Amino acid sequence: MSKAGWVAQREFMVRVRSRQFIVMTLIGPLLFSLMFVIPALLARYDSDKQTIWVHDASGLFAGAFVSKGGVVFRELEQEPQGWRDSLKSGEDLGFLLIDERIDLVKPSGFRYYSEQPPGVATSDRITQAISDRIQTLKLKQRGLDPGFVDSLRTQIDLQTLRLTGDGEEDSSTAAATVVGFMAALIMYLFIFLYGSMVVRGVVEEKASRVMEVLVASVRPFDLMLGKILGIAAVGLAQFVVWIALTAGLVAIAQATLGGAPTPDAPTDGVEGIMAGLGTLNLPYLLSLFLFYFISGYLLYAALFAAIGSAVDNESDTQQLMFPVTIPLILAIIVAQMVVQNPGSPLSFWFSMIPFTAPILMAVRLPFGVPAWELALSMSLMVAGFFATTWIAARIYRVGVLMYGKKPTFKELLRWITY
Amino acid sequence: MTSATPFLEVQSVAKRYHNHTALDGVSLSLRSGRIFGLLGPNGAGKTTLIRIINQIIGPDAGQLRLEGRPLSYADTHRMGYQPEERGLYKKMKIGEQALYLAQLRGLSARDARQQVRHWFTRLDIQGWTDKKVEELSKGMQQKVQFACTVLHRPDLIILDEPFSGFDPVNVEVLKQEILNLQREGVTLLFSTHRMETVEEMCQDVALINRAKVVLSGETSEIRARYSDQSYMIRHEGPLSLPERGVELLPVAENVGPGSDSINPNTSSAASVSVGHLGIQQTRVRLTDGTLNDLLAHCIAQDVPLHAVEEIRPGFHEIFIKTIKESQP
Repeated sequence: MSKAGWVAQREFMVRVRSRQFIVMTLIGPLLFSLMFVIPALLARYDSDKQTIWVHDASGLFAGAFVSKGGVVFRELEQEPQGWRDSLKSGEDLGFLLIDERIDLVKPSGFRYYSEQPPGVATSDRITQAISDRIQTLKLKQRGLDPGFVDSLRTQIDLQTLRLTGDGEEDSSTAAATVVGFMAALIMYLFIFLYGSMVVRGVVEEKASRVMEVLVASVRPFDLMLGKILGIAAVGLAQFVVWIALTAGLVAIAQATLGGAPTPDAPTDGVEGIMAGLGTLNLPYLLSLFLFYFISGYLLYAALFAAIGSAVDNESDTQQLMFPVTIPLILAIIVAQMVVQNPGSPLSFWFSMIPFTAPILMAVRLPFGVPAWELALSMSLMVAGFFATTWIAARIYRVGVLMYGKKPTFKELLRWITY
Repeated sequence: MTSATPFLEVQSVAKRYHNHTALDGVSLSLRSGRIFGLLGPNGAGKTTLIRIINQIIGPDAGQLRLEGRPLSYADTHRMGYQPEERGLYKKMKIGEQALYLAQLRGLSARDARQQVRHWFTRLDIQGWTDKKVEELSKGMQQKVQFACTVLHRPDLIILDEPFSGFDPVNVEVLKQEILNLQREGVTLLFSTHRMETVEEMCQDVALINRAKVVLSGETSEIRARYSDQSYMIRHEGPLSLPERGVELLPVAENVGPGSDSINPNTSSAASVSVGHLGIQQTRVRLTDGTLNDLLAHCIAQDVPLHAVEEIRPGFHEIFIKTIKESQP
């Protein structure tokens, strides 16, 4: 095995066996799957039977309240005796009392009693039902057919299509936005998380002075490369375990909770996105995401390694890390504009610059990127990686042997030319 | 130099940094199976020279030869290096750590395991293999460090301040191990400030000051070179000295730490000090003639002689003197 290989192997083994890694790797999927399971649980809890007794003294609202889901409306002819006591029975009960005289212009006189204040969903449903009925009544007063008014309300479903060489293809803007943004965020977190792991690793070797022994056996470049690759392997391993465990946990949760985890609350948006996912070419996207993940990480990790080599202790890293993280933060900000207009010149240029390309391409890819742009961006990524690694290696080579004063940027630049 | 090809030759090596010269035309030669002491004040360029030998950095000029061939990167596998500031991964088990470092020095996994077992047993740390460095005492950590330096059976071992921080018991253990290695034919390079280490263990020595070698050679030869022909005579009763060719010296001077201190300002007669059991010592320097002439003069007197011993200057004085002379 080459020396970089030995170094990478150590970096991987030491980290993968650490308590921190094991805890993070197990807790991550738990949190992720809770994101799926909690809505399902809530939906279930929500669907517990709730009975709302309606006493309509005005007689205007007969049939206005429609039972749906767990909420059941019951109409009462007479104001029931002792209903105040039955509220304390512990059952989920509500009483809606409507006054005898309702002024349609300024409607008032609706009272709702319950032990617990009603949830937003329940009170919305009641007010909606009342206002719908009042609207119908007003239309009738003016002699208009409410059915005609209903027919005026038209729901438009804009079908978005992309022209490709093969013809037309369905596309989903919502799905593309969500997938792109998620990927960009993950990319950002991944680079940050594992980039700072590289910094800490290098600083640890310098602070514990093991560096001096290491550089006597391994060329600094191999040492740097081994560390970067070893930590990349840690990141990928964690990622794979997360995805596998999350998928497994969600599957188990679905099996035990029964049914789809989506509640029957308004889900049109989510369902639309889920359906839209089908229109994306996932294998193509995943392989490109992976390319940008890895090349983006490598590009930054080299710089992070150089920063680690330049200082003696961890607290000195902050100031030097700041300029390196600016492009990352900028990319996330620009990404929000790019989502609005994926084909704009801004999008183009930021997805060509290797420092911002991983995040911006992640946003753009689901919308479709012309092949030549992609090819150019990917070549620039590879070139950028070689450039930063070359520069970082030169700083690293000098930095690992330097102890004492924290270097200035000017000194770092001079190290490159040594 | 007497032996044929030196093990390691450093030839006119120079290294310049941004605003200072670390090494300026430094030449040394290390002979196989000997201990070479590299001395010099802080900042003289010792660390730079060691880094160049370890090929951590390259020289700006000059070259290095190992057994007559130019030094190549593969030769790092034949070297062991223990820096002054000892360093190990704090959170790594010492067994794994030693294995890792041995593999980086080119040992196969199997060989490395065997060597780790061998050295850990030898240094009596085998029971700690699965402990992390941070859980060990300082002395234990230093044993681990030494084991890591010699695991891969290097032919050249470079030790920067080899005995600093060790307790006396461990210093003895380490000295024995170093002498064993030397007996096996390993060449050693010590970088140190401790003169007693040099006097006791090094056969060859070089003194670096301000990027240049200001003194080098065999330890015994250098001491002989700096000998000023002064002798200590122990005797019972008053001793008269020849009138010519002999200079009386104060006893306390240059006898080294720990000896009775005598006021050097007393008269010449009083410079004969009274030792215990009635034994007196007299310190003289020959300015003319030989020791035999002096001895003949002493023996002719009816004064019992106990010992006559040459007082050689310690490396401490030699170095301070040389460094002062080499200052511009």
